[in-house]
Amino acid sequence: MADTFRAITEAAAIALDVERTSIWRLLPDRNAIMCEDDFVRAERRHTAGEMLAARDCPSYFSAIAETRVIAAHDARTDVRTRELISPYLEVRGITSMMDVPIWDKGQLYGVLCHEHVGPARHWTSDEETFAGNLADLASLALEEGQRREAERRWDAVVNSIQEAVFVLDGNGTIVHANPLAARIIEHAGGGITLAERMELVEFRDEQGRVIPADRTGGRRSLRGEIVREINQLVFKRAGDRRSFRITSAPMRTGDRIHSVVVVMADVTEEVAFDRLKREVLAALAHEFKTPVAIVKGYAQFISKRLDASPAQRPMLDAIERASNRLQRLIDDLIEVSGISLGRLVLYREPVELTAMLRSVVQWAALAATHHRLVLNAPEPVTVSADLPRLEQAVRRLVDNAIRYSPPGDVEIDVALSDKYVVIAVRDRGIGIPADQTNRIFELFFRAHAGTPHDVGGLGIGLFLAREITIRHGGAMWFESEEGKGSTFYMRLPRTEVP
Amino acid sequence: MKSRGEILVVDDDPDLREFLRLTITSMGFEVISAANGQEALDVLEGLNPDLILLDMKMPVMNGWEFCRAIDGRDACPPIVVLTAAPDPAARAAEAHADGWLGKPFEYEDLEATVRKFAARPAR
Repeated sequence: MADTFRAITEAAAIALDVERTSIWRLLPDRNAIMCEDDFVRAERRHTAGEMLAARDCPSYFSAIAETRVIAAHDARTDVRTRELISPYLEVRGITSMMDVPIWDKGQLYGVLCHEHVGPARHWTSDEETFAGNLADLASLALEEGQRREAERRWDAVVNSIQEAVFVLDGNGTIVHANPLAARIIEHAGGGITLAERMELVEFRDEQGRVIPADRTGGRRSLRGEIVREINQLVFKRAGDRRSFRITSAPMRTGDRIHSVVVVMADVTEEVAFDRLKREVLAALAHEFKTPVAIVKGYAQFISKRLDASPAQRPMLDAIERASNRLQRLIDDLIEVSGISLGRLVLYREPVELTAMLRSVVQWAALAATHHRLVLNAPEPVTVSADLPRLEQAVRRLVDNAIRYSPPGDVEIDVALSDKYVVIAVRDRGIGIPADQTNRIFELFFRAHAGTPHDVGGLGIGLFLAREITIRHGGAMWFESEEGKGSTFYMRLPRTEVP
Repeated sequence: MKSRGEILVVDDDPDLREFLRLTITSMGFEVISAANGQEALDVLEGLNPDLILLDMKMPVMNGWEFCRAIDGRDACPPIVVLTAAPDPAARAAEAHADGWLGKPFEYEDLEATVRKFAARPAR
């Protein structure tokens, strides 16, 4: 800014043939102005920093806020400027002044002063107009300076963030790339237009399936979508691939999408580690099975084949039950790691839901001696499903309802529409704390962990139940009120079953 | 003179091998055990058991390799795979085995399987 102000003061001093020109800035509290640049023509010298307080020259302060040009032919007598005599005019020998306010976005920024030394000078109207234009120039310089400052700050942010930032125009051509983005382009071997890009880079989803050119994040955002997903980028030239978390969003003017911002974070290491974690989990679960087989096998063998005493029998039963529990946990872990690795395969067959629900109720009744299970199923309804999986999902819901409610009724309702069948599992239990409702389906999340309601477990039941439902083309959601109970809904599509 | 069926148990876990030996012996069969596929092949040099109970994940030679090694032999005894894999039936089919038991198994299932496959007339 200082350079621009210097240029203006020098130009003004020469053009208007005055001894001094200066630009003053009104301080934020509006109680003083401070000199940003003072040019003394004879000495070709710039200074700055002097202050003038409003209390010493109130008329001058109100004049600069209200007047387009203060043309004081005789500054020592003019009511607007005579207050300046002792603090300012006398010491510099100034006789005539022409001061023009500088405005910045509708706010008074300060004042541009032209000061004449020697016999009083009568300012012409042309000179007044010219001085006004110079002040406008200063205003423009201010705006330009701020724009450049804003741009500089934007660039600083975009250039330093640890993500690659691309801006695409309406055709999908890259029109801006920050340094990290430029590095990705360079690694790919170029490719600014969409066609070039698809030659050099292949987009794949998390499971490694190729994403067609018109389904990439950038393309979908050009159609108005905000996309957030993890993609693998296969660099065809370099022959390597990396995983990126891609966020892309459309930028609009009115209804028109003129460009798209794509932010890409390299998450290759995180993805690999996540995969490793799940594989370790699966391998561990697998390794647990042989020891459990030995424990359970001996317990059953002694109990069934050898003569266990009446005192030993309940102990052996307890060992067997504990083994079964371990086995279930292991199966859960394997299931969860398998699902997360995309390996859950459904074997569909016609499944009659009422019969399945009856079997779930029987299973639950064995363990839940204090709860009454009420099944309200209007008529037999058949869906296409993987029976063991679906039953497992419903068991999870019923099991939760029993675990997290005091003795009483647990209701299972079936509602039918043309397209869907909805199974509702309702309890009158403790409910789900309001601040945890949005995490309830997360893997390993346990709403009641560490509270008196904590009944143990891994926190995978609802995750599994919902995952299985989604894989069946369905949806799962819930309603809950703390202290009153929860209802979980499983909606399945009613497909044609031959 | 053999009066009882013979069963070859192949598993790298010594405790599981001992469990199978003990329980299957108590069912009235004779049990020979091997710690991996290679040992099992060696056993088969001098013996033709009525059933092979085969673990899949083993060092030296695993269950699949063992199955491939004896595939196509004449008079090959039935093989039941013992596996901790999530889908034992598919694993058994891959190995061209005759049956499967998922670990951990129910004692009753073990007994039923052994009796089903090894209940050949005594030679």
